[in-house]
Amino acid sequence: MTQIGISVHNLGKVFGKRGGEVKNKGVGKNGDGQTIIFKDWSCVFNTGELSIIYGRSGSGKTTLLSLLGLLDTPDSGDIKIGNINPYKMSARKRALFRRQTFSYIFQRTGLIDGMSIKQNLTLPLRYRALPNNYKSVANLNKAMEQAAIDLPLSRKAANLSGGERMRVAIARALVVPFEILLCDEPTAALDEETSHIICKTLLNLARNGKTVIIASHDPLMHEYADCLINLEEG
Amino acid sequence: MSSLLLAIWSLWQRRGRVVLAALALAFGIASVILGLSIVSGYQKEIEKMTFGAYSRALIIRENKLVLDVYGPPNLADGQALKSSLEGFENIIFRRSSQIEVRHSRETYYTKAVGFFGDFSLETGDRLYWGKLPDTNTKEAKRQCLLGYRLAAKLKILRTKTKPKTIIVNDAICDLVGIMAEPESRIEEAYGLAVVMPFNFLVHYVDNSEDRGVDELDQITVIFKPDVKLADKTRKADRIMRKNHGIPQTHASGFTYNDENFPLKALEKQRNLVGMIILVLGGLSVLVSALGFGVIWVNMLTARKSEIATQIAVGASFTKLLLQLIAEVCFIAISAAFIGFGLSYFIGHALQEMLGITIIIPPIQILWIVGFSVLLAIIIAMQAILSVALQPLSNLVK
Repeated sequence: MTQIGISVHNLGKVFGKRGGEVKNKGVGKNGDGQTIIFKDWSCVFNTGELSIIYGRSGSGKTTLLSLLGLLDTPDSGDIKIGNINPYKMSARKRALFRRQTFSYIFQRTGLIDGMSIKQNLTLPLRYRALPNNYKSVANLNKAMEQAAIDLPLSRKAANLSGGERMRVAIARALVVPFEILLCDEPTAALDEETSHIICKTLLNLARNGKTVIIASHDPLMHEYADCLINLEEG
Repeated sequence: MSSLLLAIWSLWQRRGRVVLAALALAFGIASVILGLSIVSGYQKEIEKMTFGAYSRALIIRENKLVLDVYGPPNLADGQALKSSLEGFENIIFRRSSQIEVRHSRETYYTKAVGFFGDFSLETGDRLYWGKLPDTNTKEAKRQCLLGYRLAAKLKILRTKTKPKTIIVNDAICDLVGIMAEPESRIEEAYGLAVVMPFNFLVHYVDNSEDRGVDELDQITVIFKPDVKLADKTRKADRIMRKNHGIPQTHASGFTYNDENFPLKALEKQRNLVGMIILVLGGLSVLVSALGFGVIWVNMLTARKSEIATQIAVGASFTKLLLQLIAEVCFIAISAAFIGFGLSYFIGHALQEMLGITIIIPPIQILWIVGFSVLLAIIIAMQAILSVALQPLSNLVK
């Protein structure tokens, strides 16, 4: 039986002026200077599946990832992680839950330029009380292998190409334990061959019981998806 | 520990801006320290030049306007004052006498002043040559200190080998020193005098037959700073009346002069100048702290994505806050040290070039540095909170 990773029920998200009622029926701009991104939007992301969210630019892919990953708060509706509603937790507990449950790959990679590859990879480990084997070179090398990187660990992030930066960002997401992986355009800066390697790695993670959610408009990824969600269709 | 290490790493990565931010604050701190040091030096200089220790002294003399039945102050009065008055720093007994002073073929008629107690508080301790006579002893030591102008009159100022003795009213006296050229009103009063121990004056120099050996011209009571002279004057008068049997219903046989009184206007002027310097210094600290804040906000804005990454990969709000506070504290404390160093060197340079007195008061400096560091941290905290409390999705974009 398939386990529910994340369930979204009647999600609503508005950007712009606050306090007013969401007046129009659909997604888009209303007359009050508000941009309605989601209105009564529902969906289920299963554990062990690779889900791909796609749609044109501005359709709300990154916003949805932020909401799913507890980086932003919905204006209405529920988001449950398994059976837990993290928005009913205190902010402190929610932050702790977020750190223990999620791993992220950002569209702009989120690497710190002044740090070396090794420092970037070990940054998440500094903030978590994890067993020593997570901090070992073997673990770092395993994550780098999964992300198809063959670079010296001492190289500065500022000196990496766009593709290399994305692969290091992917490796950084994999060095820590997580249940749900959220990726924002992970293959945007990669060549086709590397994109396939990354897709296989992500699919492999899903097959090992993780929930993998990707926001992407790269058609190459669609062949790996267990579930495709088109935001333009609502 | 990881917050501290990350703070150090982060500062090192932005060392250029860090130095700029620290310097912005350091200049403000330096200017206020310098301002305060100049005011302190100016205050001391004014006190020294105009009032001497008289600025906080009570001078007790015989009141010549009442019938001469009570006599002048004497040594017993001095002892009574010493044992009953509180809050004094020193009590000096003074008696003067007309003398004839001779050296080689030169003779000069002037006055000798005999002291018992640390007279340098009254006359100043700047010397042209030699040392001060020992006036703290009850022995009648034959030691003389010549005023600068008297030494010139006796033609012993420019001689390479100073004479060992001079003759004062036919008594041989060891010449122990010559005062420096007078630079103040007080020092000028001793320019033509011979200063000697009280007991040498009364036993060997003073030939007057109508004065007892315990009689004094003046008792100077120098109080510790911040003592109320009016209260002490009333207490001193009660002691003097008791010793001389003067009823409260009669006019006092003594005068209690506050030499500082006519010079209050100058003191007000000094305080006003000091206040202006301090206000300017305070304003410069404020401007510096704001400048520091602006640089810090700029640094934080440039780091928004780095902060977002740190939060997203697991940094708790507390750890992040600790890291940023550690960074601000490090910069602010470094600025305090730089500011102190700058003010020290600029102060010394001003002292050398302009000849003004600079005194760095340590307690006030600690307050200023503490206040400046706190102000900088408060300003920086606003920026830290405004960034750290943003929704994470805003930081990531």
